[in-house]
Amino acid sequence: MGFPAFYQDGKSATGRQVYCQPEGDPQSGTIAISDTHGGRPFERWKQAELFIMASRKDTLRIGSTGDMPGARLVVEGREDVEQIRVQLPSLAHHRAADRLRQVRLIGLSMAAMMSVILAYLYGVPLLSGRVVEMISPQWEAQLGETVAEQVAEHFGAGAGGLELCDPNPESIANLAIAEFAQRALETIETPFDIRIAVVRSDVPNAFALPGGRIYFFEGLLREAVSGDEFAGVLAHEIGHVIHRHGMEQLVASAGTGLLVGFVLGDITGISVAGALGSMLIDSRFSREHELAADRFARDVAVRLGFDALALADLLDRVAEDDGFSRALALLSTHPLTDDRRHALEVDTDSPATSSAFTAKQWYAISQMCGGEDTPRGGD
Amino acid sequence: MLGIVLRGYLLTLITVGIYRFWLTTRKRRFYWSNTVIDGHPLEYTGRSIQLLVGFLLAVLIFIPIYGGLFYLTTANPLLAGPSYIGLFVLLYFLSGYAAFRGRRFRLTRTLWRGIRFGQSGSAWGYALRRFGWIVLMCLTLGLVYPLMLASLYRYRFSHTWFGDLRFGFTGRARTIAGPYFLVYFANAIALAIAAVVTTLHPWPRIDGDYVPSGPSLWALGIASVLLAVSIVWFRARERSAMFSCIEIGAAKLEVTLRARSLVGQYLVYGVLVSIISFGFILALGLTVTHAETGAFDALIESVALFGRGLGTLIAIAMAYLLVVAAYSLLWETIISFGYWKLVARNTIIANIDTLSTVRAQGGESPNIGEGLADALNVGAY
Repeated sequence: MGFPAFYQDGKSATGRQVYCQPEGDPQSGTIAISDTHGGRPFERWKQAELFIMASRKDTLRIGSTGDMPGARLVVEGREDVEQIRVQLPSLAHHRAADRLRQVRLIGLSMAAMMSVILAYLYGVPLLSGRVVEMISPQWEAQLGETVAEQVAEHFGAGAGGLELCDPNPESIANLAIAEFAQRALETIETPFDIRIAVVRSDVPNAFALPGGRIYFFEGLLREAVSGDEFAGVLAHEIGHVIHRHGMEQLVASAGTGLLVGFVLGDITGISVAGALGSMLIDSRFSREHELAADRFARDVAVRLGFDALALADLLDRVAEDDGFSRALALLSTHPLTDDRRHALEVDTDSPATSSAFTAKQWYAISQMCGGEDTPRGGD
Repeated sequence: MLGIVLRGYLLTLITVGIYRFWLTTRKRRFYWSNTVIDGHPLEYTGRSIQLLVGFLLAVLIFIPIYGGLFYLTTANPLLAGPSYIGLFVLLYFLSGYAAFRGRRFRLTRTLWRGIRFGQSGSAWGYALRRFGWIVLMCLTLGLVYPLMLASLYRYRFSHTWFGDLRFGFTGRARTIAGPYFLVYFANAIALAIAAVVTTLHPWPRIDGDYVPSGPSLWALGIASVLLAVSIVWFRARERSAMFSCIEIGAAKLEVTLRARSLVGQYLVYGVLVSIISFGFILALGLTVTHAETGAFDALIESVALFGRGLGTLIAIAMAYLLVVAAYSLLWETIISFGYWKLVARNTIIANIDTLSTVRAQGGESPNIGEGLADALNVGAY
């Protein structure tokens, strides 16, 4: 038994019809290639060295690792191809082995990819903290100043930038705030100079910049009904500064972009999927930071003896968890309020013994943006 | 083709993106082995693992670049703008290098009649040339485009080999200067007319938003249709004229791409995209209306609350992937596949018999895949 085929020697672009005669068993046998049936073979291929080149349907292109890389035996036609597969069982064998190799390779790379992703998800929060430790606080403070300028440009209507509610640093309200910050930091070493500014803006929000600047928006102050609520937010933002969360996020998000580009094969990271992926991962770190800042606020509240849960009350009022935010919880930069309340809950049942501010101080703070009447609720 | 791509997308999804190198290889094998020249198909001998390793290396190159950029922007945020522009320029320059290197990767893994193709020349040289031309293009408002095309085509093809036989390229700028300037000035005039019409019929302001005026809308619409059609027409003319200037020893390529076939492909693609988009919007609309009657409340609730928002995320991701996959599937089967088929069907190689004396020369090069080209998304097919 044998079969006719078209032979290319891989040395020149000519080809010719040949006759192939399998000899011996698949492991040690050969194929004798001769010009005519029964002619003298001019070439012998070891059956164990054969491989199939992927080709069109009903076409078999066989090569040999022992010959020129371009040398081929070509057979066309469905029946002829079937026939040869029967005559050369080693082909199917090699094909199966190659498939297995490919599947293993894919599996291995996939496992590697998954471990990179997991290592990243769990490693970066740890690692970015380490990296941040190496960054000098002066540098961070300087960065914070530049960001502050940008923030002022972004929020400030016109050239005024962010307008302070009460520009007099010696006013009762500003002194009370500064005193609170000092008390909150009493037992804590920090290289940062915490500066808190209450600024005019209707947005109910507050945020901290790297290096110690904290902005508290008038909109949020209006929502606060007690000094403890206001103090809770301040303590939370101070927590961000102390833990250097801003820097950590900067470092982490640079890594995230790289990781997502790595997975999607789009290093420039401009695709929608890339943006979505980065957002998903970055927001996860952000939520962890929020909870860490909440725990810091709780500790401060316990130490100073004011009501830690007041912050959660304020959060409830400003950002109520509706079905929508629950559904999108994984994409949000902030945890659900329920989870934050949990973080704020004090384990020991030491009830609040006093308030963060005296009634007089809180009244001054609540009026510092030129408020309407008396604050709602009182102290 | 459809089967390969569909299966490939699914596996790519399952394997966190790893399978895409195997998908590329499969697609190429399909294209190559179905391109039959003088009774012999092309053969693609590249392996997926080479692409995978190449990509990993490209990532290694990018990490220091991104690290440096990150350091620069945090050290001085004022530098952020300039350094991103610098990065863009660098990436553009690198994409020329990557494209040429990727071309070498593909050519040296392409066999016909058992003889390997090859590419000489330097990828850096090509990148520099391309970059210089682009600078000139910007300075001359695109007037040097025919010169640039001829120069780059010549560089590419005079460094292309089939075995020990070198390709030649006889094209000059004037080969395509006519069609190019026709398209260039026709569009410039159309744009000028649209601008004049818009000035004569200024856009009224309704509710603080500018609303296009009737005549202006017509003029802009006609100008955009002209732009789209003329670009495709020019592509067809350019490819026909330039490919027909390719010689392989005594053999010569003759390519006649009909502009209307190419326009037809884009039209079919456009119509199908519209149908699919309409279908998606309809499906979304129906779902929302039904949901408002409360029909799926239980389902939505269970999805939304599954795994603390994980359900929603999976739903969003699935919907996104479905839409993206549908569009890119259309693109691959109609535009990419259609174009290849069009070129293959409309190419005649004169004196092809003279190629039978060619001797094999050179091996696979570079050993490792088109990493950079893949990463920068300039790898064709």
